[in-house]
Amino acid sequence: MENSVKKTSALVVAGAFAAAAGMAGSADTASAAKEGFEKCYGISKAGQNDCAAAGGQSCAGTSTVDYDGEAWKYVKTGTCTAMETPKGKGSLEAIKAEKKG
Amino acid sequence: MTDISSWLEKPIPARAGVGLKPEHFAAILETLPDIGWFEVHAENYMGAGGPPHHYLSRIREHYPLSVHGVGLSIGGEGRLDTDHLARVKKVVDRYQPGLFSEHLAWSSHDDVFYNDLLPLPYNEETLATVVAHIDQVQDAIGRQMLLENPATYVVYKSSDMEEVDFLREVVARTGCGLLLDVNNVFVAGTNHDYSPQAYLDAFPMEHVGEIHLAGHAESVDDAGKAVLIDAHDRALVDQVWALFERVVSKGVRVPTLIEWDNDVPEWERLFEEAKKADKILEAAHRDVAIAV
Amino acid sequence: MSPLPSDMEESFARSLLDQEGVVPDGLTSYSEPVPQTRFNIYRNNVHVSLIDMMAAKFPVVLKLVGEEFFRGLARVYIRAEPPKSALTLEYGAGFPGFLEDFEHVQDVPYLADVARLEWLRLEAYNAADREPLSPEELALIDHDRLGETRFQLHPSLRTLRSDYPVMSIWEANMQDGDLSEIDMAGGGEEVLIVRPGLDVEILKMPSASCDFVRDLGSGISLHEANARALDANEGFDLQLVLSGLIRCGVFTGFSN
Repeated sequence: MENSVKKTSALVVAGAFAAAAGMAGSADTASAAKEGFEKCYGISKAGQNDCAAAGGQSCAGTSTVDYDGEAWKYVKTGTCTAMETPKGKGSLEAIKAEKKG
Repeated sequence: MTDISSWLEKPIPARAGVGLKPEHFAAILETLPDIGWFEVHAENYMGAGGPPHHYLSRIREHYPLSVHGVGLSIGGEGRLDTDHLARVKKVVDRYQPGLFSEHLAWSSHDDVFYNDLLPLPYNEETLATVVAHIDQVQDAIGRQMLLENPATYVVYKSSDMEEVDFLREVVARTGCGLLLDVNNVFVAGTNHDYSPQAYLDAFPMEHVGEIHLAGHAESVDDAGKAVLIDAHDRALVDQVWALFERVVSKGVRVPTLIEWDNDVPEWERLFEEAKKADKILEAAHRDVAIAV
Repeated sequence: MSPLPSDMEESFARSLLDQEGVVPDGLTSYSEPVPQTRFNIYRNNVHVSLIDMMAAKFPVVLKLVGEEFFRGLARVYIRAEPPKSALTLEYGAGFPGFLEDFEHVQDVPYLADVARLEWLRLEAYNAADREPLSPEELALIDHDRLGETRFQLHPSLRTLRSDYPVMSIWEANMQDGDLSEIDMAGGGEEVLIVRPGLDVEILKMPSASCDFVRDLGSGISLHEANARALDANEGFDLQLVLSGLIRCGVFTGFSN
């Protein structure tokens, strides 16, 4: 019994693998969509950032001034403020937290 | 696998080159511009693989290359980071550059890396440390290195040697060569109120194996005096071109690099700067020919 | 009397990163006896270069919280965890964990996972190169022994399972997409990151795939990994997941 389950399962695995290799080899885009692998298309823009991240080190100083210290408040102004989470929108929570403290 | 033996037959010519930026990989490979050579920062090619190595290998097939380290902390009092030295060696072994250079500066203290080129006092004690570090680097990579004069903003009270004398002594004790950064001479001269011309006249030009040229930013200190920042974020000022001509007029004909690391312009704009440096080098060659 | 050189470097280094930035003893200049504005150039170089490096590595975290907040956040991170080596490719690895604990971002609970995704992308970008096996090469594996086959996976392969729609958030921010369409209550995502050639691919996988991929990567046989995935999720579709992985160039070798 145990043996036959194992055998069947091995056949299933082999069959799935062969079919998968066939599917991946075909240029059929419909089957690609069915895979449940949803490709992310944020990549091309990311490429521009790769330059900065990859070539980040140099021997130059900078004329950009870092304004350190008290001027910085924990207030977010980015896109997180447009996304609801179960805990609420980003910046509103932050402002509340600051008033409390 | 790329045949690196052909690279060794292409030493870096006494022409202009530029610092290679990822933003320009594609333009360079498409147009294969008539430029003498490229320089890269070793630390940007220390990953295992990926696009940086892919593009640098392809560009290396067409051009001579120099590798410039920015993280060895040769001027630091502590021991060199031997892991980092091994990584530098790996980059040098892989790309077989015509030149390898580093800075008279420190960037690590204890276990922290500060990602900036920080100044050291010039005295017997620091001289001994720098000499030991350069011996160690040259032993590790199995070749001569060039040491670059720094752009500095402060002076140590404990310095009792001139920078030029310090460099001369390092060369005498280690056999290393020098990388003369002409913009750094102008920046440091302005920041410390000395004559860049006089500095250059005292510089041991016979040991210069490479020249750097770059733009700088301008600021003022609390006393209202000009302070220049070595920002590599714009074109050279005329005074630095003039200092370069002064160096060339002393008979120095070595690979000359345009550095532009921040606010990097389009390839064509950078290439223009290199052509300008090439014209100065060519004019000097012509003058020599006429004199003969 | 000037301090000893060893004290010099120590106090110089300390003043570079601390809040006060007091000029270390032993420094001077021709115009400022205590050269504060000049010393600040070094402090500024250190902070700005490291903050810029973080901004380049985590562009979506930056976009999520806004530039000013990000730069302040990065400054706090840099002081808490400064780089430990000149290999700055590795700097920032601790940022996702830092965000996890940082009190002022607790109202953006997905932020740490977005940072993780950005970090894994960079790891994949710089990972070793390896040629993936083609579907044709994989089709040649002896069918009778497929169940016992163990695979070598691509050195750039990374997976991320998040309780939040982390890839959707990342993608929408990279593409200036409509963020209000992201269903924050709709459950998490399992993400595959791999660079079979020059480009890093990021894909959302069916559920239970992360563990399956991790099992295969740790040398567990195909049969056993499938059995485990079915235990975790009875709807696990081996064929679909395998074809997705093959198409992404995940497999680079095998032994059976």
